[in-house]
Amino acid sequence: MKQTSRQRWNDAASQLSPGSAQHHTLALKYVLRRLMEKRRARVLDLGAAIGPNVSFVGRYAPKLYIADLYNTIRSRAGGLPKDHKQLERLLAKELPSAELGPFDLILAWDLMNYLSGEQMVSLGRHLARLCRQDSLVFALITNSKEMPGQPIRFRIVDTDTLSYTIDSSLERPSPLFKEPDLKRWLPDFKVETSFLLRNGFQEYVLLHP
Amino acid sequence: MWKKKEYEPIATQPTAPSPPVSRPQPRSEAVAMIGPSVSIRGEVSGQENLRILGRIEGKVSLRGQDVTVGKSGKVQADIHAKGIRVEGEVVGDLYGEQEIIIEASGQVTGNLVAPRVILENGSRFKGSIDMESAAQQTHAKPVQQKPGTATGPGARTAPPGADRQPKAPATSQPPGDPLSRS
Repeated sequence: MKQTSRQRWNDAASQLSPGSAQHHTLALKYVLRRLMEKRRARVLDLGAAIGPNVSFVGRYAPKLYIADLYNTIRSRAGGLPKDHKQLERLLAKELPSAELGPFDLILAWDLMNYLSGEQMVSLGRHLARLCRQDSLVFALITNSKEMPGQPIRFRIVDTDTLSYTIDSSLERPSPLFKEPDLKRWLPDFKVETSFLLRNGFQEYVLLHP
Repeated sequence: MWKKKEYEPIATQPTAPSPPVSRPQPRSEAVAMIGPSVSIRGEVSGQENLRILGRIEGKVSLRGQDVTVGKSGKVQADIHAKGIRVEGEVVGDLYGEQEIIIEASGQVTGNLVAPRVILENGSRFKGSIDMESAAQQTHAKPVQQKPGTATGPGARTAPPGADRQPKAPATSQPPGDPLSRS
């Protein structure tokens, strides 16, 4: 019987933490350590508002912006628009304006898996405008062939652990982005480090040089 | 015999009358309510806790008091209060002197400024969270009373024609606080 990505996730998670939907993270601690070096750090969370994340990140950065980008754009346009100009307009509207930045850390979670190369270029350009030198982006790129139909909601348990909630029962093929793809589509960023996890995700820390 | 003694008044030492002492007024625990069928355009202020089940468009300023936006409440206004709890929908900036809680049923689009912010699981929020500038907000001047402003116990609505101006631009932000406004 074919195993769904949700089952694979649960299996992978259960290897790390039996009975719970959690997995180990290496990049989170990495970026938080860097965040601690900043004074009055600012964090942009592209994901949905998750209470424990706000409490957790609030310990490192007193100011954070929750963009809930995927849900907001989907509710306005019915999905991530393929039309370049429409996407540009939506990104300009839904991301915080440059005066609200620069942000020291951007939590992209697994959003990039749901973008095409062109969409990634647009997002990267907007994000770069919100960064300062040495700002970091935390992104999760899946190495599985299939992924949930919409971004996973990640909850920070502690600096080493993320738990996740999959809202969609649908699945879709994953784009299987590799590091060269990220370099090509995000020219304003460079890969500072990455970690391959047992659940099929590769955690990337991107640096805005 | 023992019963009689039980009812005897207790002898007390005569004491000199104590001078009048100014006691702090206990904070009002009364909760005013804006019912589900009530719609207000204007500024709401007062000295009581407030529960909003109807619609408000304008400004809510109840410094030192608690404001709850109930499940049926729809608020399009900035809210200033000691504690703010959202179970319904708010579009506007929330300034909590102590804390802001967005319950699971709550939806907020705006900016949150408070020393403590709690987003319950299932709540929807988009905007910035500033847990640093709250002290500035707490020590901000009380809101000046304006003509046509609903205020005080029992008075809750602005008179007809006192429609609120469009939402103020970023100039109402505390200085040096650009993130708290999207």
